[in-house]
Formats: sequence, C-alpha cells, structure tokens
Amino acid sequence: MIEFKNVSLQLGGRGILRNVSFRVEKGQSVLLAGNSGVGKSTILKLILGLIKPTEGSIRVLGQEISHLPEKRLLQIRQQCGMVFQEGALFDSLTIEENVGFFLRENKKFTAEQVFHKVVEILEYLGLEQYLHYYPSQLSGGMKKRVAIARAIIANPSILLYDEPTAGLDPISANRVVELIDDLRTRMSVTSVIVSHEIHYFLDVVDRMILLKEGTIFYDGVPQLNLFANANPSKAKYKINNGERLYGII
Amino acid sequence: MWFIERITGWFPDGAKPKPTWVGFTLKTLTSLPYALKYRWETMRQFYIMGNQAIPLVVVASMFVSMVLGLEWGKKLEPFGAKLMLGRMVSISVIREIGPMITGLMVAGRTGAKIVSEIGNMVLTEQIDALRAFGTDPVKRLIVPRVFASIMVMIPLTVLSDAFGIIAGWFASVVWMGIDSEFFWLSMRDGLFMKDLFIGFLKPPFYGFLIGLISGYYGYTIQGGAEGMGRAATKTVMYASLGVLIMDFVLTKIILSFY
Repeated sequence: MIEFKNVSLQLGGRGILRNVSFRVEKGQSVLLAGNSGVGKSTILKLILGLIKPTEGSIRVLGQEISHLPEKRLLQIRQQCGMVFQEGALFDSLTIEENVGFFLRENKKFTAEQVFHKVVEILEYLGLEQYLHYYPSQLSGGMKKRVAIARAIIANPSILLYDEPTAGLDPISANRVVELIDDLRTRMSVTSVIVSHEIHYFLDVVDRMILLKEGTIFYDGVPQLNLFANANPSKAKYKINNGERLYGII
Repeated sequence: MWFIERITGWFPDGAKPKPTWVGFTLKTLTSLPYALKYRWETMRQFYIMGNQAIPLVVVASMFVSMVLGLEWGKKLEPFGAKLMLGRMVSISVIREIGPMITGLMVAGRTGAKIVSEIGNMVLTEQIDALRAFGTDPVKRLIVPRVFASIMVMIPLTVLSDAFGIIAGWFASVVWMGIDSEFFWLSMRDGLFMKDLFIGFLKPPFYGFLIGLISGYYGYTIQGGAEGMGRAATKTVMYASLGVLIMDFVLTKIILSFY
C-alpha cells in the first residue's frame, strides 16, 4: 500500500532522510517514532507527494508518485486523509465547513447530504454542538478531533497522523488515541502515526519504525526501550503509575 | 499544465521547495478561469477588498485632488486662466490621480491583507492541508484573490474619480474663488471619452499586479513572524513600485496610439 525504496531527501543543502526503505501493508498501523527534527513528518509529506524525494522511489496505492505531476497526485491524495500537527483547520471556515470541505470540493454531494454526513461524524466524535464555531474558539484537543473528522469524512484508504497527541493534556491525548484505535478497527484503514510520545501508541499500532539521524534505526514490534537507544543523550525515563515506561524528550 | 510544471519547476521537490516567480505567474494566469468555479469565494474577496478600501481610497483621492485644485489655481492665476481649473482638475484626476491613488491605496491595504492571509495559511500548514485534500491552493485561494483585485479596481477608481473631482471643485470654489458653474462648464468642455478610457484602462492592470505580488510573497513565506513581516514589507514595496512602473509603461503605450 505504501512503499519507500532507498528514499533520500535534501532540503536547503541539509540531508533530512538517507536511504529510507520500508513497506506498509493494507490495513496495517505503523508508528513512526524518533527525535524531533529526524524527518518523521517529512515522511508523511512524502507519502502525500507534498514534497518530492531527492532520490529513491515511493509507491502509494500501487502508483509510483515521486515523479507524478500535481494533477495525478491530487487524485492519490483524495484517497488519503491527513491529520496535521496543529490541526491545520481552515480558520476562516466554521467547524461544519471544515469537516465538510473535502466533500464540497471533490465529490458530487448536495449541501444537505454533506451536512448530514458532517453531523454524523461530529456526533461520533462528541462535537456536534460546535458545528457553527470557528477553530479559534476550540481547545487544542477539540481541534485535533475536528482535524480527524475532516480527514475521515471521505472514508480514505490511508490515514496519516502527524503528532496527534502533541501539546495535549493526558486526558485529551488519551481521547485522541482511543479515537485513532477505534477508527483503525472500524474502518480497517491503513494508518501511519508520527509521534515521539510512543507510550500512547504501543497498544494501537502493529509495528514501529524508529528513525535516527535520517535513517531507519529499527523496524519491528513496538518497543519502548529502543527509543532510549535511538536517543541516548536526550531520553529520560519516568515511571507512569508504576506500570509503564515512557520517554520524554 | 504539464509543460508549465516541467519548464518552471513549479512544484516543490527536494531542491526547489518553493515556486519560482515565473512559475507562479504562469500558473496563476492559466488558472484564472477557476475564478468562475470558485465564484462565491471570488465574490466574497471582491466584497471584502472593495468595501473595506472605499474610505481609504475616497479620503486619499479627495485630499490629493484638493491640493491639485489649489496648486493649479495658484499657477494659473497669474495668467488669468483660473477658469481652466475645472478642466485641469478633472483631466488630472480621471487620467492619472484617480487610478494612481486607487492603485497605491489598494497596493498597501489589499496587498498587506492578501500576503498576511496566505502567509498565515502557509505557516499553519493550511496550504499543505488543502493540497492533502486534493485541492490546488493556487486555484482555490490565489486565483479568487487576484481576480477580485482586478475587478475591484474599476468601481474603486470610479469612486476615487468622483470624490476627487468633487473635492477639486470644493477647493476651487471655496479657496480659489472660482464660480461653481464655470468649474463644471470647463470640465464638460475639456473632458472627452478618450480620457475616461485611458483612466479606466490602467486600474485592472494594477489590480492584477497587486494580487499577484501579494499572493506570491504570501505563498513563498518562510520563517514565522519575522518572515511574515519581511513578506508584508516586500509586498507593499514591490506592489506600490509595480503600480508606478505599470502606470508609466501603460501611459507610454497609450500615448503612442493617441
């Protein structure tokens, strides 16, 4: 479903990724972890073709996208949902308009159909009373959930999450994680989650890819102790309720 | 479109993360028909740009025209030609002052508005979000703004001209002692359709330039709040300069025909 083969990326003369290769199968959930600035979010942008690799090949939904023209890329992107780090909600649009944006832009639905679909999704997320609010009137956790609603409205084949728990208090973060887990089981969607707060996602993902200095340091079963090995100088550890370890950068 | 992408290197890759000026201009020009698809957004931008710029344009035009009336009056007085004031003021306002003041005011106000809107959308990943949802941000955001800034120039120039002439009349009658009727008669005899044509031909070009420059600097913004400041400064500077240079170029071309 998603395949990176020897992908390298240089931006502004700086090497961001070096010979990155991995494959995500249909329905799989993968956590991309690593230190800040290691190129995790960049990989999501590469999957969507928002930036192009300097070298290597990227296949998404069976198509080689590294040299695809923008028009063809737009068609691929329409089958993907992306939750951006800060939500990236359109601040001049209401929550209803934000969530229904994709359907209004790309699909031939009536305004009434779009509205019903938006209400249905917002009810599922417990946000139906905020339909006519603007993003600036919502809390960080709510914005993240609205961003998820916007990403799933068109039943995408691939869902990409960029730091979905970043900047959230533990309760809001757990709600977002539960939501991601619920979506994974309900929609059987292929998910790629980028986060450095790996403790939240250990039970949610099938696999973990750990990045270090622009290369893949580990690819396999989710493990906490490897995160420390990838970031030996910066990682500190705390005991969470005496049960679980988690890394803090 | 495909060849434009190839020639201009428009679309970001590792080596070229931002579009070139040529690529951006070509892409915007070829996408202008999308103003029809996004007509509600275009109308909304037209309303915002026009409605909010009216007071600025009208006040600026009135004060410049009053100065014009006073200066011309003082210069014409020794020759006993004060009666020509109506003609002088109206021709100056319609052919040059009205379009120019409108262009400069819109460059400052609308230019800053567009660059901060688009720039903020880039910095908060809203542009990436648009692309991620399969929507072309140039067609969805830039084209409606550029089209609206082209369209809004004509009505704003009409208002600028009208209030400018009224202000010129006021200055001529109150401070230069010209008879009101003489002012209007002089204007009627001296003003021709050609002057109106020249006066209304230029503003849409200014509008295109303002929309394009501000859209480009907003779209290529880098570096947070500081970058926003840099982009806004560049936009106002280049858009204002662009209006002045475009005015000269168009005047030269028009005068070579008339």
